[in-house]
Amino acid sequence: MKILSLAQGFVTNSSSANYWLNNEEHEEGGHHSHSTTTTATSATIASQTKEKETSPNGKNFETKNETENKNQTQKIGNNQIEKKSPESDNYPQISTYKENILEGALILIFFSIIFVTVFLIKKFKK
Amino acid sequence: MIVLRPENFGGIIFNSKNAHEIWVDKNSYQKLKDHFSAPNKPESQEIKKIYDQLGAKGGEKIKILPPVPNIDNSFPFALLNSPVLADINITNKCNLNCPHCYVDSNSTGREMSEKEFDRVLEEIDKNNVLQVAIGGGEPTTHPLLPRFLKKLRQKDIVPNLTTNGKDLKWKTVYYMTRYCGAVALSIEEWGENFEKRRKFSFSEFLKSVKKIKSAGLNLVFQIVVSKNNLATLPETVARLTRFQPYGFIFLAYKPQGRGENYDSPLSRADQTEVQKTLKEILHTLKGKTKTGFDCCFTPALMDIEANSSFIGCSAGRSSLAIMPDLNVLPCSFMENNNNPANLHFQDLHSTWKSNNFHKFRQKIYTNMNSPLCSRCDLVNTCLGACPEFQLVKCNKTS
Repeated sequence: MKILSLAQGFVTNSSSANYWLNNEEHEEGGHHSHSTTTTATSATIASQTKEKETSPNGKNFETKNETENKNQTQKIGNNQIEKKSPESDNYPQISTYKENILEGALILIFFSIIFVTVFLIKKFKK
Repeated sequence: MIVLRPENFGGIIFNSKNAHEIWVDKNSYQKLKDHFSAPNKPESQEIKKIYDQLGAKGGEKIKILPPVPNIDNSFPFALLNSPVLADINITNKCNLNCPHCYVDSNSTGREMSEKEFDRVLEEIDKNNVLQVAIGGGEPTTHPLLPRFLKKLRQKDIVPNLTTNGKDLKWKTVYYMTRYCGAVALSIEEWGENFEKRRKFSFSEFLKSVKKIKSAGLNLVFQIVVSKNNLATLPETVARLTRFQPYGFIFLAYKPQGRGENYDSPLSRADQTEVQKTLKEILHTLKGKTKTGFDCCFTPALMDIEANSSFIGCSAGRSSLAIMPDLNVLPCSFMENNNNPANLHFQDLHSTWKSNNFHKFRQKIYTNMNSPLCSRCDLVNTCLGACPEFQLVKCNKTS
């Protein structure tokens, strides 16, 4: 398999596409070596569609691409901690939200009981 | 869900659960397509590695997108047949009046109607867009935001959103949790400085941070970096890291809108300071959270992380921006004028192929051919610099 580019992350601004640094290497046992080759330059991807890359003014970028490919071989790591998303079965988000409401309701009930008890005690004392 | 999207160089494999995206060549794409088209086919070692990169376990739903018409690419950089990402500004209204706002948003402004949003949705779906970044204005002020998010998910497009965190209601957090991939909170400085700039209580901002975190949403801190907040940036980042966000995104400051005369872009700062601060930030965040920079930052990063996945300007190559009036621009930071294409009258693919977009790509190409850049080994990665503004400098240009 030939991976030309890799991006790992949700994009909150389109100009930040593909620019996540792959820097979670300490989190899941470090980088793994892969037989997949990755050449992440834009020019490499562009050249996949053409035999020879010639720019609009006739300038040939091929030599530069070759150098670039050598320089830019990207390290790919199996090192991203999986983030749960709304599609996953055990996504905790909604339940957390419900828990917050439940917590609020319990506090309310607790104070209501105290209030009613104090009120009743006062009433019976009279 | 795993989405397969064909391209002229091969194809894109996208995991909508975590937004892991892989671009592969033609042979690899065909192999993957064959694999995913045949249920219960045994996984080869190669396929397992792709699953690894996608952060997928197997058993995910598969969607193979139909091809869109090819676009002629005479440029020496990657140009997709249609965008994979779209900025959708659903409103110009904002509940703040920040002095650095690049779109001049305030309490009056235009909101995208539901009919207009449906038109946008139809076009981005037809063009195989995978993720969108919803912005504004302040998108949470739009009364139809929950419906928009739901509609995007129904089309298997991942919505992400940027908010200022003001008046963030639990109801809104609930909808964001249900439908969004990630939600970004905008911040430039910590505490008093934040309040001075935004005229918005910092404690309320922190409440919004906690709300988003407690809901389990993927929280991103989105920081616009200018000459003026460069000195306080490491401290701001260090403090925000305590909230264990999903990631940080750093955007280069654009002198646009109200911000034209408020702040100064990094290109006007001392370049040694810029490099030093960026290194410090990367060091602070390494191993702790995801770190992203907008493509406008690329030249400044080349000397720090030349071997990373940073690539220059994505505007008009893999992304575009749709404004509340349905004007379509290569980049959301551009001025919304000069007769841009409009989805009321044109479809998205003819816009992508239009002369306006071609001219923008030509500007990127011209930058790459400047006397300084054309001699640089990294030009095919950096793609020159931002074709619209002088935002950051690399070691060579500084």
